[in-house]
Amino acid sequence: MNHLPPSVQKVLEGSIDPKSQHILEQLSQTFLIALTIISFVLSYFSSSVILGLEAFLGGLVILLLAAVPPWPYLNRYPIKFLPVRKLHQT
Amino acid sequence: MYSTLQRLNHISSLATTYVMILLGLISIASFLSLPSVDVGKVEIKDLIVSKGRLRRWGARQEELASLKFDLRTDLNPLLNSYNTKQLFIYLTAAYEVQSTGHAHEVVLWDRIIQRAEIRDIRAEVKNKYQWRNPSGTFKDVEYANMTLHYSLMPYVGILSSGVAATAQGPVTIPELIKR
Repeated sequence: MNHLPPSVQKVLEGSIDPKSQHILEQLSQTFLIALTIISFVLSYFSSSVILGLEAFLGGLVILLLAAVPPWPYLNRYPIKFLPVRKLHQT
Repeated sequence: MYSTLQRLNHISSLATTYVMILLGLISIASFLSLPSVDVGKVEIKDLIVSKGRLRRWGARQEELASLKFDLRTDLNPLLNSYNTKQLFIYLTAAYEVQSTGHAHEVVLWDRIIQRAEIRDIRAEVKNKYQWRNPSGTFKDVEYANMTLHYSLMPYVGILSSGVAATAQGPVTIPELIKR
């Protein structure tokens, strides 16, 4: 990937800030648990296994779309670095 | 969760775990909610024993039994149950040879019914597989018990099987028809 221009590399790497990483991890866990329960209930009451699996897949696609690309809402808490100190003034 | 690839990797591995949990839940729930089947009727008609040859090179003449039967059973609860992919139904004859006391069970007819298929199998059917006795004769066999079994194949989970229909009492094996 190193032969690509730096701007393209930055988009492909898609880093997000640490606080958002933490929130995203918990949210995706919770979302998947809820999705499992919902698709099981759906498949049980419609008595169709296929429908439950389709519901799970649909939810997963939504989660991937929301969480994988570096959307602006995942960069709301950027780290404020201290300014660079100049040690040797010439 | 730092970069795009890490997020993709992390979420898809989590999702794999949860899809396994979902399939486990489905198989447990479908096992617990298996429908009960009313045992139907098999009517055996035109059971005859005659001399014949199996379609095999150098086969000797031996006694072969052939039959027609009527099936009257309701498979709808099984086919419409939660986790049914297809049903395998088969008719067996269980009999005992009087002189040796050996018990035999042979499959005479079978059929696969898929979930989306028409469930009407009221047509009169013949035995699909040749019924022969290992000794080559039915002299020692007095009667046979005819049973229609089913095996339920689920999308995911445990195979289950049972009895879908039985004949009313044992069926007497007739004398050999001489030609």
